[in-house]
Amino acid sequence: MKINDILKPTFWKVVSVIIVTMGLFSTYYRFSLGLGLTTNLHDSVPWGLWIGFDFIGVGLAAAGFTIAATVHIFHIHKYEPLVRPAILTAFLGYSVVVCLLVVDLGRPENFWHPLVMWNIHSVMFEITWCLICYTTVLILEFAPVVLEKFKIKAPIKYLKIISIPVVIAGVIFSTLHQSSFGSLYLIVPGKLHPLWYSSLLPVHFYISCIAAGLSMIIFESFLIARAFTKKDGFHHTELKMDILSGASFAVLIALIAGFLLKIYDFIDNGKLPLLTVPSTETYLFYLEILIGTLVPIFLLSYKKLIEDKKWMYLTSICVISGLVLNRLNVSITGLAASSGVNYFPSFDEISITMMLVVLAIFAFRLIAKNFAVFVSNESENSVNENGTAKSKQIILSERYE
Amino acid sequence: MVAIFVLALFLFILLVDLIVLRIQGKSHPAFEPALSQYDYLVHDGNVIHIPSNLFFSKGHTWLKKNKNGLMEIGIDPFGSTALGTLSILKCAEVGEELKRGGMIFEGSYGNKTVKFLSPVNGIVKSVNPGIIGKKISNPYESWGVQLVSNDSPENRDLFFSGSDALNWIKNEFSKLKYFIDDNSPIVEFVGETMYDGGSLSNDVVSLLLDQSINDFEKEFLSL
Repeated sequence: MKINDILKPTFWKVVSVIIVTMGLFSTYYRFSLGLGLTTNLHDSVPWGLWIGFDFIGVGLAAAGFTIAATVHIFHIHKYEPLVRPAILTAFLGYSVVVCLLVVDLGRPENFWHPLVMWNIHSVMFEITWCLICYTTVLILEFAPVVLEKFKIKAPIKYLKIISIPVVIAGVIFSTLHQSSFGSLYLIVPGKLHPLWYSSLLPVHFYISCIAAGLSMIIFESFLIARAFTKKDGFHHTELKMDILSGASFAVLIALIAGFLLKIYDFIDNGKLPLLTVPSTETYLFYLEILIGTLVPIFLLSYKKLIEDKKWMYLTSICVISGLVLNRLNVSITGLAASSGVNYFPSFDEISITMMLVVLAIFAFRLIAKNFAVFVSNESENSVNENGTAKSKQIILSERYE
Repeated sequence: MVAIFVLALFLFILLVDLIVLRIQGKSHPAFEPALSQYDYLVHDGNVIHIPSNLFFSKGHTWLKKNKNGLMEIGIDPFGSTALGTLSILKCAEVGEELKRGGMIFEGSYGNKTVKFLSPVNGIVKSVNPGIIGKKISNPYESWGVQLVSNDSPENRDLFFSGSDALNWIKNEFSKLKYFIDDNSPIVEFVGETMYDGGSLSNDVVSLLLDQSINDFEKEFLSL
């Protein structure tokens, strides 16, 4: 990448620089002035936008374990080209979450306390450990890509040997903490609005993250095609339509499973009358279900649409929007009535969040451009007799900004 | 309201991106205008026929096991027409032990020779002398080589069949347009309406750069 290319101003570069600059100022203010002066959080609303984004970030990063399990445990190798982008997405998603958590802590200098001060009865303790362990797993899964780049062959052999146990560990950690985010709200049955409160909340969180994580990979594929190539990006990224169509079908299955579970939950707990109560919560619940579940199920039910780029892209946006609405509804909307406070994030909360998202997108772009993130089916993770990784980097050329 | 705000911001950014692309005169990959133009084939009358009993390798050979258990292998429609009409110059020899990836056919488009690789391991049982030195007009008319092989053509990780094969070959033809575009100094001579569904001239290969045939083998004939 030439320095002139980097410095050449484009619309999104200018916008990104502005967002990051504002975010850095907000970060400085947050750490120098404290949470009370820079956020709209207080004792009645201790968790706000940042916690909501933690849920969103982790939920959208779920493709990391679903794709890895699909390919390496269930041996459906058709989806190998998705493994590395999924793992990179997961790693960056978790990195954003970790940064937001540190910013959100009242005493950020004590972030390491859960590592030595164990409270084994706390869901947050489990989440903390799962996040740490899964981030380690993601580093191990992505390490071969970095090692290949710098031609460090020896460790790749050992990473290959431990790859299956590492993937299995990743699936276990992900299953635990994805569902535990839902478990966090099991202790507030009187506070969380009954439209969202359910003893099945951990299962809801788990199923919805599978659908959204896969949709995120589809969405990202289009972003990559849009960012790197002037031609049909799929020819240059090895992310073929049939692979993405297969992922879309998995999204459909997960959405139907989640919807059926929700119907069962509403009937079993007698919550159906709540759907007729006119309130902000009800309208937002309808919006969430409509955008995030019903519309995508309808669109993905047609084979013609599932194989059409335009509809596939729009469907992925719908599913991602559904997860965004769901996580923010659970963490903010559903608690607003009981707290008695109408919370809206401060400028600094929004600014820091946007800065971290922009930095994650920049990091993805930089890594995808310089490392073998997009590789063909047959070469992914394979090592020949000399221990040389055979992964063939797809040349992402002719930037398209 | 936070949920609405975040969702609206997300959708607003996507909308602005589309507007920015529109101002730049470009299109988003998901909304490329008349996407079907890329699906047009590059040869007149080239309606791809995929027999249901054949399997296709990524090196553009077809294969099937006959009733005697021998693996019959030939060149697929893409391989036989990609850069002009293909002539077979030579085949692997009878009795030769072939490894997957070893040369099974050598052919030529005009004066440029290309190698087709064996999609399976096996020992050459017989070679069809009728295809040597002739242009392939119907790729399925006859097999080129028969192998004794224990490999299964039904391995879906290695071979395509049915609609998968059809989609894959169509995709290969679309890729070929980009390949020709990248490898021809004056693309207009190749077929100036190629991207709009126009046909290629019959002598495409002579209009490509010298090193292009090696790139063609790497891009399209490797396994």
